[in-house]
Amino acid sequence: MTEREFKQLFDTHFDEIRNYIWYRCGDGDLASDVAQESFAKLWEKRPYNDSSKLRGLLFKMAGDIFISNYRKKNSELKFRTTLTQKFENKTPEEELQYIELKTKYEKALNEMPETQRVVFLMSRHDKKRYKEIAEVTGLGIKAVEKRMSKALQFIREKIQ
Amino acid sequence: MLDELNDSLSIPYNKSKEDVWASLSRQIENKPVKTRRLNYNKVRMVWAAAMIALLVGLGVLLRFYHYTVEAKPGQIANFFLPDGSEVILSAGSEATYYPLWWTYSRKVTLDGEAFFKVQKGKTFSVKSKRGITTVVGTSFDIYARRDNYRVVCYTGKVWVEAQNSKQKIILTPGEKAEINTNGEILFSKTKNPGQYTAWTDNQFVFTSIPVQSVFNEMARRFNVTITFEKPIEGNYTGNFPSDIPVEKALEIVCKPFGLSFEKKAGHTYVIK
Repeated sequence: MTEREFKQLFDTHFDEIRNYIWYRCGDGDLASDVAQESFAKLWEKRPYNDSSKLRGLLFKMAGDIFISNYRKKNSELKFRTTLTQKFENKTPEEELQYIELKTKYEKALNEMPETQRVVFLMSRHDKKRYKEIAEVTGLGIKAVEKRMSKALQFIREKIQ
Repeated sequence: MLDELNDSLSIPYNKSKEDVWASLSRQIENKPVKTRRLNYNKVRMVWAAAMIALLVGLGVLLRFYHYTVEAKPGQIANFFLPDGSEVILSAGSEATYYPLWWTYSRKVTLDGEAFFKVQKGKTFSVKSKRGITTVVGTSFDIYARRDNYRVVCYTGKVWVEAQNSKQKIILTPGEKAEINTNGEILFSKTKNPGQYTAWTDNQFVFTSIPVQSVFNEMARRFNVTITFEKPIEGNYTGNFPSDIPVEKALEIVCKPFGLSFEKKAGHTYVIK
């Protein structure tokens, strides 16, 4: 793999790898570090696998690094959300409503089981198709569908 | 509504993508290129070469693995070939064939004398020093020793070819072919082909055979050594069983020629 190919790989996949880790822990800095580390490791190993397998490999490596990091810290990482609101024109009433909803939503994401949250956010935030989610997480499509429906149900209940 | 919510939110990262790339570049700069532990292409090539070598080796084994059956002096060996063809080997004879290649080619090498009962199938050939005999499904006796090459057809059809002259002949039941040292084929009919296979029934049958050859055959069948004080002329005709004591058999042959024999140590007899 040349350095140019590596940069290309980085440009294509960095965001989704970093998001994936963030979906699991809610810590932006940790997510950045873990994502960077997984790319560094990939460069180090310079595997001869064909490039179609590299994406799955990156996800797997990022997950593994996250787990070992998590264990190192030896503390329960709670999913802390600090979703930033993009600037939008709103009336004060709309603004209030929005903040209330946003808080409930963040809380729901916080309390949702990690496995459901990852799938849910990959679908709704990354806009990934179920097939894609299945590929990168290594789950079967049925499992992805199941977790999705559970997540939606969970959120619906919390946002009531 | 949820979608609206999601779309309006973004994840707060302190480091931008460019920031990460900057520190990543620095990180990999410091890492020396690790020499690959395994060159997968090379491994694949070695594996392929090994497979080819294995297949070639297997092929060689299939084609060239041979098996020899031997009948020692005093023995008669009886065995079956992979297709069910039967071979009866006379004393002091050996036959070699290729068991793993038998379905493709039925070839036997014979040194000595044997009676063959060949199953129908592909061409069956028996190769000896002086001649090659080929059949398809039949029975015949081949005598292929130093002193003579003789084929007698019992049933079916037999092709006989001389090794040095490449002369050929076809035999039908009751016909006999002999090949001399010049490679010439001598053809004759025999009223009693059974006499040539009498050995399979523990019988000696000789029709005008040089008496020294008679004694040589007896030596092989009884597993003894027979020597001659001086060369003996004459042909012998007669038959007698082979499951009798060797001295009795010697008496039977010596008598018409006025010969006598003396027993020496180590199963040796001298004809005077």
